[in-house]
Amino acid sequence: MASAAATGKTFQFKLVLLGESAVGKSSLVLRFVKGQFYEHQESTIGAAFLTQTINLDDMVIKFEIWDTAGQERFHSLAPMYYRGAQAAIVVYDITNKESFNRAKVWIEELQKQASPNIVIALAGNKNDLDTSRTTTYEEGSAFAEENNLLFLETSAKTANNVNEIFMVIAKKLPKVNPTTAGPQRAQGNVDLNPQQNTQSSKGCC
Amino acid sequence: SSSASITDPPIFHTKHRPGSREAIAQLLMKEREAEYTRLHNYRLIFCGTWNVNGQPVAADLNEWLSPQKDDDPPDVYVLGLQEMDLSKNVYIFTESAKEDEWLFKFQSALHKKAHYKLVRCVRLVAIMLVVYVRDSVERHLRDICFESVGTGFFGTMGNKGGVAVRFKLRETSVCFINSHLAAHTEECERRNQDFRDINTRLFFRLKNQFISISEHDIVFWIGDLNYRISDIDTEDVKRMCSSGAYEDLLNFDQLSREMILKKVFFDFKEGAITFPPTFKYDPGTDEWDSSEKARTPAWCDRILWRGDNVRQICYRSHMQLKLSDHKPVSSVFIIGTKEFKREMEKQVRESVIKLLDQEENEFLPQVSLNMTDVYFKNLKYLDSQQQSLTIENIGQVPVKFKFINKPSDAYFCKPWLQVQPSEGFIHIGEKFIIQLEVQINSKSVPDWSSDKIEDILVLHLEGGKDFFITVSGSCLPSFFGLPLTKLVHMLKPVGLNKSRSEEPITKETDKSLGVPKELWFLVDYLYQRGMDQENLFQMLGLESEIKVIRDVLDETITGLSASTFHIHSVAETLLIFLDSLPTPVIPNNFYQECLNATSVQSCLRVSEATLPVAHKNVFRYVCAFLREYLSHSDKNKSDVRILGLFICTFCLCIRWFVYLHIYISFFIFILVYQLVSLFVCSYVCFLLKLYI
Repeated sequence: MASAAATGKTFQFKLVLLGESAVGKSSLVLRFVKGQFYEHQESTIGAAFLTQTINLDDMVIKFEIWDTAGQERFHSLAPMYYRGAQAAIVVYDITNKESFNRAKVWIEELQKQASPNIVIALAGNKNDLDTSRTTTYEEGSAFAEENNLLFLETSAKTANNVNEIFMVIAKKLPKVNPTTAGPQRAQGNVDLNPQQNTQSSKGCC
Repeated sequence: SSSASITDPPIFHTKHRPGSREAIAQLLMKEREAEYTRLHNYRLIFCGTWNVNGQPVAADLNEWLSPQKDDDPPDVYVLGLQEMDLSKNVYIFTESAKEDEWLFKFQSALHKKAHYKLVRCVRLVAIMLVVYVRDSVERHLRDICFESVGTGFFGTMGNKGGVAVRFKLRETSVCFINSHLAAHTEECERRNQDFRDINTRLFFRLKNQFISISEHDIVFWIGDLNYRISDIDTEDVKRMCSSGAYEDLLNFDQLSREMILKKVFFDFKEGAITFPPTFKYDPGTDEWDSSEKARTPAWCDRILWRGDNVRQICYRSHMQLKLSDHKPVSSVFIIGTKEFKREMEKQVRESVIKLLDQEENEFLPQVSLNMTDVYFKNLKYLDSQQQSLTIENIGQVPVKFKFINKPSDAYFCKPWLQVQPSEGFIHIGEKFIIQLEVQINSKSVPDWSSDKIEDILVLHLEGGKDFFITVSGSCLPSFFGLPLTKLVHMLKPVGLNKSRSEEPITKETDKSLGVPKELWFLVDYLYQRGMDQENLFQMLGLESEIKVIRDVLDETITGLSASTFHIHSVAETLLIFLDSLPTPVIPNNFYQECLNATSVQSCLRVSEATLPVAHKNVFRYVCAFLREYLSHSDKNKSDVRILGLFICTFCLCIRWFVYLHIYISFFIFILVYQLVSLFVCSYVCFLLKLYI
């Protein structure tokens, strides 16, 4: 009999990454899930799928991560992935103004089309490239505040704020439906009343 | 690639079985338990077993349950009786008066230095198991369950079998079984079988889980196991007993022998037996059975255990209790109970979860595709082209794949594309080839106005990622599929324009042809060579010839007269051309006007007024040709009704999907289709007659 009962319930969430091509969506996921970073990450043609579990207080949060293709020609396919998602990370590149504008459009789309309770985080990625920055921290943060989004500047390369952004999402997600409840402990409620449980022979003949 | 080796999916691939991931996590945690567990809180467990032979509850049980020499009160009492009630009633009624009597007797004989509470009393006919716990230990008990299994008559009745209680004492799971196995010296194998039956059939139900005996940290197995002393003369046994040569006598003990052969009680331990056999005495005495049967003495009543951190303190029989033909046996154990170091446990758990995540991601389906952009070059109307897509399973699990629909699409690909097969299964390391075929005709590309086609396929791996495959093609210009209004302005062959999109934009005032030259060439050919041909338009042409005709018309100005084709090929080309028009000769919006018209004459007037010039010309031209053809009916045996029906179907280009948009409902469409086609058929026939 197991000890897994020591920690609490497991919650499973679908999380989708959206954003313009080459802003670092796949890199963020790879950093978060495998702790790796590739300078020349291949372009995602499709929607990559990975899972990662984190412990939050006494809960186990399991993310099912859909990392989508950023190319504009695949835009019409995005609803397949954000539909039913409980969380989304919209990523832009702080050195590419156009990607920030695109992120705003994504957020608008999510607010209109995705589930109304979706937790959205805005991630300004590549903050290791501070010198070539075109979007200031304040711009990102102000936009996030206006739209009630979580906001962090991240770097998949240096791992800055990568775990953190998933953690703040985990914290904000409503923990109502444990998908797989861990074995529960009957703490201190053992019924020791003398029950005279008798059993007779089963099956009479 | 069908020479597949079946490979079981790895156990850690748990995505679709969320419960099993938790189960595996538990298993891994269990394996590493030592890292976060400390033993403490040593507890005394008293186990006692007695076959009371149905005798009335008379004796004082202190000698058995709390002998003078046992200074420390046990924390848990586990007491097993067999044959506690031998009346027939016990098989029929669940109640047994004796049960309460025994419980009362037990209660009063428990160790005086402590207070006890009854945890459970379980009875299967005459096999009874009672568990008491000391007051101060009670709060450490949880997950208490009990269960019983009969192995007696018919293999299920309760005259033989086992009853069991289990619980968790802090983090240590403990199971107690009291069993009464098959009797008689020669039934040794039957006893082994009873033991196995109890093990395989007994499951505790705890919430949604089933727990078997073997899943416990510690198991105590007590009872009248009924193993005898055999292959030795009864008198020798008695002599050895009186001299206390129990060690030698144990060589003839069936249970000891069977355990050495690992046929029963595998993994269990038993302490050294230093007491005389507990069976069979004359009741009320310490004398061996003096009845006619004169049973050989035997150690029927035993106490065994399995598990770590268990130490036996004593193993003994109690000769003073004489009411039965068996003597009671008892044993006191000291067990270490586990407690988890929470911080350490958390760390181990985190690393277990990390490992599981890693495994889970590693065992996601992985494939590689030979291309994600499939390009078809120089597509022509009526042509089809094929390409193959190779999917290779480069992951560590078999892959099930399927092309899935895009949002708001009813099918996963456009009508001009065929994908075979659309789903499949690929073994690890193997390749799978998918055929992509593009076919351009009026059905697959209803609106043939662009020179490019494009579609995105979504290839989904079950339980894993999706791939987007872009299928696109460039189309060579052809007169097929172009609107009549455009065709009449094209003086040069269509193929001589650089591309379809670069057609010269011509104004209405520009020079234009009465009917498209391609139509003229086709009709002229039929007029020159086919007027006497029977069944014109009713026979299929040759596909290869039709393509040649297409190319000649698309690329040359010479027309068809220079070559010779089957007349039916030319006729079919004419029909295909009419069918390919994006707007039919009689445009769809014209049907309603026809329906509104009160007579054929007024209908005609409407048509004169509203049909575009090119359409009107083509309609008249085709009708004039048909009139000419009908005039040869003595030779070609043509019939105006068949011809009218046939031609009007193509002139109208009745396409169901147009109606789906307009009328939404398919049923309404059927109705309208019938109305319109019947009406317009007769209308066209009428027109033909007028022209004739």
